[in-house]
Parts: sequence; C-alpha cells; structure tokens
Amino acid sequence: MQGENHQIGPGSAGETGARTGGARRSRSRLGPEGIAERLRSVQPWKGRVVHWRTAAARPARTRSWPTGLDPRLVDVLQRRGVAEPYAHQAEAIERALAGEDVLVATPTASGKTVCYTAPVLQSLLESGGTARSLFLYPTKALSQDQTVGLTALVEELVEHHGDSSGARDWHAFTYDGDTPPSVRRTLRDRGHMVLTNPYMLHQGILPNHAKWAELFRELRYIVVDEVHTLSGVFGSSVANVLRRLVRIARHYGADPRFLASSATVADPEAHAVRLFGREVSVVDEDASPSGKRIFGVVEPPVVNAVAGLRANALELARDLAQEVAGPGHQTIFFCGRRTAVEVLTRYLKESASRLGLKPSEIRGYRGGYLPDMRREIEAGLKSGEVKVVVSTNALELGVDIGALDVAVLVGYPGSQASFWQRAGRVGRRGRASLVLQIARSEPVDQFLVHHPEYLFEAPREKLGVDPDNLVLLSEHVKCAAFELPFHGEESAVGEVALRGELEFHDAPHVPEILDYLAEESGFLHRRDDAWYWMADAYPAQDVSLAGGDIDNVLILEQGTERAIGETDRESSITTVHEGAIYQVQGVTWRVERFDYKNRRAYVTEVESDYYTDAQTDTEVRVLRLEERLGRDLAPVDDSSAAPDYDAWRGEVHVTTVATIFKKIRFYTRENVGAGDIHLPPEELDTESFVLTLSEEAADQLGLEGGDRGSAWRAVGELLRRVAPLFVRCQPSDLGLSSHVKSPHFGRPTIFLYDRVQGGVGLSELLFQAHRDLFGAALDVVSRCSCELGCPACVGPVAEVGPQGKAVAMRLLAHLAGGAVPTERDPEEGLADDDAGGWDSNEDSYAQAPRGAATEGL
Amino acid sequence: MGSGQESTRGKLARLRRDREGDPSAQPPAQRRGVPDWLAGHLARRAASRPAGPEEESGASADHGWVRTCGDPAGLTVESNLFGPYAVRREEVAVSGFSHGSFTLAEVEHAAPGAIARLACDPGLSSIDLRRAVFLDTETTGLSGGAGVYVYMVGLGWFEGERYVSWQGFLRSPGEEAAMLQAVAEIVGRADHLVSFFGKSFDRHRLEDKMRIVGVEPPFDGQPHLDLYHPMRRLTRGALMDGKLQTMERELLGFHRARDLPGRLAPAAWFDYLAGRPHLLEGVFEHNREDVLTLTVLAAHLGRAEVELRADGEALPGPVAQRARALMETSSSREEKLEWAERALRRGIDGEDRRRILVVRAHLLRRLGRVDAARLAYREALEEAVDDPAAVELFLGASMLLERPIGDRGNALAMAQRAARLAADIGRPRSVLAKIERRVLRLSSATTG
Repeated sequence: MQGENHQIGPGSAGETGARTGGARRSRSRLGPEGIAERLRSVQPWKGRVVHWRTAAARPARTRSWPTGLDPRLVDVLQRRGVAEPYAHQAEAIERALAGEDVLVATPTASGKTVCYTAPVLQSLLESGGTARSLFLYPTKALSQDQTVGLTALVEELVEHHGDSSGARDWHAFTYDGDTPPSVRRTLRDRGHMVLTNPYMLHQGILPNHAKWAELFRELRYIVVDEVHTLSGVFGSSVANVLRRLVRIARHYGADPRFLASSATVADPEAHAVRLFGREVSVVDEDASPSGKRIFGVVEPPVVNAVAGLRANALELARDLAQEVAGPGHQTIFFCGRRTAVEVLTRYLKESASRLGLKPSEIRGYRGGYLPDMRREIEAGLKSGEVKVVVSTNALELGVDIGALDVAVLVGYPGSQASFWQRAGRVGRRGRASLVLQIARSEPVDQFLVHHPEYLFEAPREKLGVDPDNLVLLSEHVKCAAFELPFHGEESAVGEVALRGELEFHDAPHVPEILDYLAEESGFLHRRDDAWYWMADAYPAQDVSLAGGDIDNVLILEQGTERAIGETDRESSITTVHEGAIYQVQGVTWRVERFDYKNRRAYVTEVESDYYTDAQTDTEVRVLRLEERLGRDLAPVDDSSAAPDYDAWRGEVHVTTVATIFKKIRFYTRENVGAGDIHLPPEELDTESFVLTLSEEAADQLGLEGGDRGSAWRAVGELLRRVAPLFVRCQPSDLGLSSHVKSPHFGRPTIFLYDRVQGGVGLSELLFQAHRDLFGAALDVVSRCSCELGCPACVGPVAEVGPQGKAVAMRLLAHLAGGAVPTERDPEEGLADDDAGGWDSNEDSYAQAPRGAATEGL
Repeated sequence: MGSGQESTRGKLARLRRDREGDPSAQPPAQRRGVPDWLAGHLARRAASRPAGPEEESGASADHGWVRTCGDPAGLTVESNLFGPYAVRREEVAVSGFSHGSFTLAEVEHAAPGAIARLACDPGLSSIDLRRAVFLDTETTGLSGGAGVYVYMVGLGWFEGERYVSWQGFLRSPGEEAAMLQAVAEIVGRADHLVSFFGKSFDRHRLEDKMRIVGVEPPFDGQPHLDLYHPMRRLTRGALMDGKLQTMERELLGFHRARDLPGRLAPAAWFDYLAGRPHLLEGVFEHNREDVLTLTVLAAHLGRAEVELRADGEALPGPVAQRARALMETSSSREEKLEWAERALRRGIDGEDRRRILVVRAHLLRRLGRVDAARLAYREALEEAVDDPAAVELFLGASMLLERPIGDRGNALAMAQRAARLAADIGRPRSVLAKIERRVLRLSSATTG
C-alpha cells in the first residue's frame, strides 16, 4: 500500500493509494537538476526546449550592522540567525536612519522586510513608544502575514530586553475590511504599527482621519510594499491617496518618511518619484545569495505545418507535468487566466496517479477563492503537503508559501517584473531550482523564443503611473477637500495658487478643479481663498482606485446561498452569465441565474465535460482628439504631397456587450454548442491610441479587396500583443478595435485603448512609443517561419487569406520605416470641429475627410 | 399656510421662477476653468451630485417655514483665541416657563437614582440637572467623516433662576475652530452632559471636528446622560418610534407649532452659504426646541421610579412599559417580582407579556415560593406553549418539579418537552447539549 514516506493529505481517501504507490516511489527522487538534465537529453523535450541558461550559485555579500542601529535591535536580529545583514539591507537601513526616503528594489526573497522593520522599530525605541507607522500592502493576505511577523519581532525584543525596550505595549494590527468594528477603536488609539491596504486607507482611514489623530500626529514612516504593483490606474490612484495621506499627516504636524520595496523594475527611482512626489534614495544592488538557477524556454511543437499551428501551451504544460511534477519536490504552474488555472488543475488532478501524487496534493490557487481556502492552500505549500500548485498571478506577490523547486510559466506573464517575481518563487537556499517558460502561439511569446536574451537583460518596461492624470486627480482632489479644506492665495497677477499644499502643489489645474467642484458640481463652497466641502455625501465611496475593486460579484450555490467564490464586475459578464460553467478546483458549477443588478450569481454543481468561453462585441466612439503625429507620403511625381499615416491620442467612449458563449469540451477543445448572453452593456470612457492610414497610403500598400480588413485587423492585434514589451501592462489591459473605414476618420483605423474607466495613460505611452511598436510587430511577422500566416504572427491563413501575411508585413515595414512623423493639429483635416465628433451623425464623417485632408496642405 | 394647497403645476412654475431669479443658479460669466474635456468628463460622472436647491424647496410645502435671506436674526458675534464666532442667546426665567405640560422648574425634583438606574449607568447616580449642560447639534450630513460640518450647536443650562439657550452658529466654515472652542469651554464647565442619541452621534461628530481644528475635546471623563436609551426602555412597544419628537408629544404633551424636518438642515446651511434664500430660521427654532425637550425629558426620567410628578399628579406615559423598564433595572429579586406583577396587571401584552411571565415564574421558584411558582409556570405555559420562550418554561418547571417538589417523573417529562421544542426551533447546539444532559441525568435517576 502506501509508502512509509507518505503524508496523508486532507481528502486523500486512499482511492488512488494502491495505483500511486509505484509511481510515487520511482518519482520521489526527482529534483530540479535531474529534471533539467532529462529535458536536455531526452526527446521530445530535447527539441522543444529551445534555449537554456544557467545562473551559477552566488554567495552572499554581507556588511556589519549600521552603527546607528540600536544594539537591542541588532541583538534580536542576530538571535534570529542574521549575524550580519546583506550589503543592500545595511545600506537601506543606514539611509532610512539618516532620514531619507528609501526604496529597496531587489528580487523576491532578498530580505526586503528587515529594511523597513528595523527603522520602524528603531523609531519606537527612540521615541519611547510614541512613534507610529503605517504599512500599505497590495493585498489583505500580505498585511496579515506581516502583522504576525512584526508582532513576533516585538515579542522577541520584550523577551530579551524587556524593561529597557519598553516594547511591552507596542502593537501591530491589521486594519482591513475584516477587522471587527469592536476592535477598531482600540486599534486606532493603540496601534503603533497599522497594516492596511490602499482601499482601506482611501475609503476608511483618510475620510475619518480625526479618529486616527493619534496615528497621524506621530506618524514617522509610511511603508509601501511591492510598489511595482502600483502602476496603471491603480498606481496613479494610489499616488493620489498618498498625497492625501501626507497632507493629513502634515495637518497634524507630522512629516513622515517613505520606506518602500519593489521588485526589480526599470528605473525604480523615476517610479518612486512619481508615486511619492519627492526624491527617493534607491537601493537596488541585490547582495543576497542564491542557489544555482536553471532557465529553459519551451516551444510547443508544430502540429500542423501547413497552417503553422503549434500545440496548445496548456496541453503542453500537462505533458510537461509528467517530467516536472512529483512527490519529492514542489512545482508551481503559473497561468495567465483563471479559466486556464481551473482547466490545468483539473487535468493534473485527473492524471495524479501517473505523477505519483494524490489528487489532494494538487491544488489550484487564484483570486476569487474564499479566504479560508486560500489560507489552507498556502499552509499546505509551506508545510510541503501540497506538491503541485496551479496559480494565476495571485501567488506572484509576497504571500508566504516558502520556496518551491520548479516553476512552469504557461505563457509570458506580460512583463519582466512579473517574470522575475514568478521565477523568484523557486530556489531554496543551497539547492538548484528550475524555471521553464512555455511559449504560447502569441507574438510576444514567439518573440521571446527568438530573443530569449530579452528576459535576462535589464528590465525595459516603464511603469505607467500618472498621478496628474486630470480625471484621477479631480476625483482625489474631491476626496481631499472632504478631508480638509484647501487654501489658496492670489498672486500679483490675479492667479490663484494653493497655499502650503505641498502635496498637491505641483499637480496641474488644482485651483481650477476646486472651482469647478464649487461652481458646477456644487460639492464645495469657496469663501475668500479657501474651498470647503459642502455637500451631504461621502466622496471616497464613489471613487474607485482601479476598475472593479469594489463591485465584486458573489457566486452562491443555488438554494443554500453558500458562497462559492467571487469575481470582479468587469469579467462577470463573460464568466458568470447564465449558462456559464464556473470552475473551482476542478469542480464544475453551472450558472443558473445571474442577478446583475445585485451582483449575485447562483450556481449548481454539475458534472460538465465542457467549459464555456464568452465573446464580446465592442464599439468605440471618438470623443476628443488631443495629440497627433503624422507624415506625408513621398511625392510620386509633381503632384502635391498626400498624407500617409497618423498616430493620435484622445478620448473615446467604448461600449462592450457580451453576445454569445461557446461550449468547449475538455481535452479535445471541440466546440459542442453555444448560447446567447443577455446582459446590459459595460460602458467605458477612456483614452485611446489611434492609428489611421490615408486612403492614398492604403492604395499604395495594396490594402484592398477581401484581405484588406483581415490584414489590417492582424496589424492591430500584433500591436496590442507586442505592447507589453514597451508599456507595463497585459495585452488584456488594452482594448482593440479596428475598422477598414472608421465612421469618424473615414479611413483605415485602429484603436488601442485603456480598458479602465477614465484611462490611465497607457495610450499616451503607446502614442510616444508607436514607432518602436511597429518595429517589434514587424520583427514578429518577419521572423515567423510560417509561409502564409499562423497564430503566432498574423493569424492562420484561414483567417487572414492568402495575401494577409504579405500585406500585413508590407504595412508594418512601411509604418516602421521612413520619415519620423511630426506634430499636427489633431482636429485638422477632420469634419465638425465644434462637435468634436460626439454628436455628429455618421454621414458627415464619411465623406468629409477626403476633401479636407488635402485642404490644409 | 397657502403652500399646502398649492397645485403641483403652480409649485413647479414658482420653483422655476425662484431658480431663474436666483443669481447663483447662473453659471459665472468669466471663470478660469478646467480643460473642457475634463469638465465634460466630470459632468458625465456627476451621477452622485448632491441635491440642488429645487429639491429641498419642493419638500418645503408643509413644514411651515418660509425662506429668508442673509444672516439669521439675533446673532451676536463673540470671539476667542481662534477668532470670531456667532451665537444666538436667549434667557428665560425658570419659574413659570412651560414646555408642553411640564415646567422647567421640575428639574429640581428629578431623582438622580432613577436616572442612573434607568440609564444603567452608575456614573450618573449623583447627577444634578441644574449643573448639567443639554446638547443637540445640526450637521451637514449623517454619513460621518471629516467633511461633515457641525454648523450649529445648541446648548442649554441653568444659571440660578434663569435658563440659558445658547446656539453657536457657523457663518462660514472658517469660524469652526472658534465656535467649537466656545462649545468645549461651556461643556467642560458643566458637571454632566445630557443629549439624545449623543453618545452615538453628536459627541463623536464634535470630538472629530475638535481634533481636526486643534480644540481639546471636553468629553472624556465627563458623565454623559444619553436620554435615548432610558427613554426607549420606558416606552418601547408603546410609541410608534423612538424619535425625540414622538416622545415630547406623548410624554411631555408638547406639540410644535411648526417644525423643520431634520433632513432639510444640511441644505438650509448650504443655501445660506451660497447666498440663496434659506430655511435657517426653521433650523434655529427646531434646534432650540430640541434642547428644551431634552431638559424637560430628563426631568421626566428623574420621576419615573416614583411614577409621580413633583406635584403628586401621575407621571404621563405608558405605565405597563414603565413597569417593565423598572423590572428590567431592579436590583433585587423581590423588587423585580413586584414590577413584573405590576407590568402584567397593567396589561403588558404580546411578546413582552410572555417574557415577563417567564421571568415571574423563575423569580418565584428562586424565591422558594413553590406553590406560586407552580401556578406561574402553569399559567405561563398555557399562554406560551408554542412560543420559543416555552423552552425556558419547560426547563424551569422541570427544575421546580425535581428539587423542591421532588417529582422526578414529571421533571423528566418537562425536560423532554424542552428538548423536543429546542430541537424543533433550532436552538444552538450548546443549549441542546445542556438540556440533553439534564434529560439523561433525570432519566437515569428515574430508572435507577
């Protein structure tokens, strides 16, 4: 029966015990190095792993503890086995003690925590226990982990230095939505270290700052963990929340410093400066040791040479599990989508016995699971009971699960930072680790197959953060005005500027926004040079930090009302519409009823041999064009120059409606049915990067006939998919809409828009980098080995037609080459200047541009 | 009031006129604004825009107040280290001033013991209403948070033979610190604070705002009588709701000539600040009367134990509920039993009656009055056999039968009934287990 080294996991039930025994014994000796060796030498893997790289083990660089650090703290840290800190830790602590704002940007598991806990505890020792600190974590789980860690440190301080430290009364508390109201008061008055998240700070703490007066008066440090997660809309919003936080702290007479940590990102300093609105001292030389690390890039085999079709990455991951999963070590699979996590978990559980595992040793993990289940899986990973976990990016952050051995990334996660965070999940001290990146049939993944060096060189992605985004700024100025009045002063020339508002001082248009809120919206009252909140409303309630964080949809079992999981509102229309199959840990539930208004989906458990995939339809309307770069075609003869292409940046209104869903059978992935979806549309006001091609250029490049639309669409899809190389986002953060003849422009048009309410500035970054985008897209197509198009480049020939690949390549070569476009008037050459396109009917756009295009020349 | 009869059409026409004639309703002629696209964006997102003036005036039909313009009448400007602030102060002679059927002089006769007992707060056992300050606030909203202004603080206190009504008012948000400082001084001078729902609301609003503007809050350590809880205890089930206005009508016989609904208070101040015609006169009056009601209601509470007014007349108010309240707050079994009997005699009904029947039976058993207890359990069970309360009755009867009476067989039968009913109505597992232990013990004892 079961081997003696078996741990009986929960729910093992022994049903696979007998069958598992042999495989289990034989597989229990697998280790990262052995696995790598086998993959290198045995077909078919030998041919599929197209790139190997090994990073040698690296010893630690240590230094002595900074002389300014309290000897009692040094003692406690040394008792924990840290005789001397790594050089980067010592450096960070030293700078913090010198009163600088510090950002530590080093990889996962390099010991960042002590860089801020040491200065925080030092401030408590120095102040005799009056100093306070606020910690911000991107997730609840992280703040709970850290509360436990801080409490333990304080206890050790008391244990070894009892009376002299005064630490007996220091408390670290988690303050989040789960904190019972009965303890909130104690926590407000007695919490020396308050650990919370940006949402709670935004909606709970700042609007009620009087209740937190004790904290604000003595606030020394604001610790912000994992700042690389603070990008995009979310990051830009959090930057404004931090402005509000510092403004309130200053009101109470405090002048807190920032202590921040980040994964390795491009130019962490620039990111921190934008986020915190001040100069920040960056420590980014990792001095921690690491074991030998082996990386491999795996390319799925071509299964249809004519169509250029490669095997599905998820199927490949399933096959790869045969090699990389086993009872003697721990393996983590990272998937991009929640559905993929569930499908792969199901596959692996079903083949558990061949892996020498019990199904209960294989777990899925993703956002939307209930907290208890997540805690249980985390504990199982830490204790070693869970051998295989299939996760979304939910395990990318610093949730404490201990170090694992093998990581398989099913598809490129969209950014180097994510790649390294995921890779950082493996590697125990003194042991080799293995990271395998499976390339999907996606342009970015294929690009990486051909340019693996991209993964390993210094990160290039910029973190898109724009605290001065006027929409977000206005919302947070409104929240800030609720918290404390704004004061201005009039200059000699009659301009009103903010007085003493250091935090919002550099932000554009703040007095104008305040006036708008006073005069048009009626939220504020302006008297003399001050603006006061003057409405019976609680503005933070209506301001979301990032799309969908508040309006979650709860998934309940029909009849019992038991909670099964939750999902954000945006994805709800495609995941919990009526008829959808919702999966949790391989169990399938059918959605019986979706109460969209009340955000409840009711499900019943079913034995389903298929899952569902919903499709959406999207319409983009131009609201306003703000910037434009354009160029002319080289004159063919003496005729006047004709326009070529234009790149634009502007605002659009996007309407998305879920239309139908397909039923897809597990394993075979055949389509076994479909159904209609009846849900209200999702509306989005956002910013877009727009590419238009003149009719003349289109003619010249042969963008015509039946291939015209598909080649143009393929170009759009390529641009969307290579965008993560230049902008920190997922392809799914960008919406795409392409038209052969857009009603607004009357010519071939591609919209790439921010898929977040209000926009976050991704489109601006794309606008600036659009030439590089063309180059990268061209690179993908021209290096692709297929003849007439494949999913890895422009799409299979069946979709783009026999000329599709050639036309798309010609288009991209044309766009990427030639003269650099120059700035132009965004409205010039377009009809209806006054209406900005908002109210005009389609007829008027359709004919106007042509004539108008030459008019201004 | 003519507005009560005004037709909808007429009302709309008038509102439109008012709005057009109101200069602040027009967009300012010249303004250095936000970029147009942003204005458009903000306008689109203005779904949560606060109520405009037309909505408030639409509801103004029957509260009896007309709008006035500019500063409210009768304000005097005082100042302290934080700057100037405005106050409306009125004094009346205590003797002879009546509020409904009560006079202010009746606070003399309020018994501190009764107040402390019914408020369940021993800290009030030496309360002297003549040395207390009575407080009620008007704010710009109930949502809480730093953006809510306490724009009016009504205080009342006794000064010898005179009663002072003091209303601090913000003519602009900038006067907040000065006005709150004045409030803190007055409240801090008093021995006790009296409010209605103030422990949950007014105190925290004031404390928060004081912290924000740097005024030391006076509340910590000061005994606070929040009338809401004891008055609710005295009247629950007899009055339609727990509102101050209901209590003053039913207990004090005070009927307001005209009253501005509290929900219009925020808009009244917003209108005033914006220079629009406003309803602040109504708010001042409403607030002043609220504070007077607090004062007299405290006097009423102080007589609840003896149930007589100072002049020997019966104290107004629901008597059965009062007996229930006194039962709940009794300190000895004998007294509790007495008030339970009175509550029953006075016709307490419904769930209260069943609950009191249970209490009475248990009390009689504990006091060792076996026959009376047996009768009481029987009577109670007749009325409440299907009631959840019957679990307690079966159990109590079982105990009575077992110990003083010595009828183990019937004691077991009673315990079994309790077990069955408890299981049927889904009592918590711990309760079921306790009953089960009893059943087991009795059945083993019976068979043995």
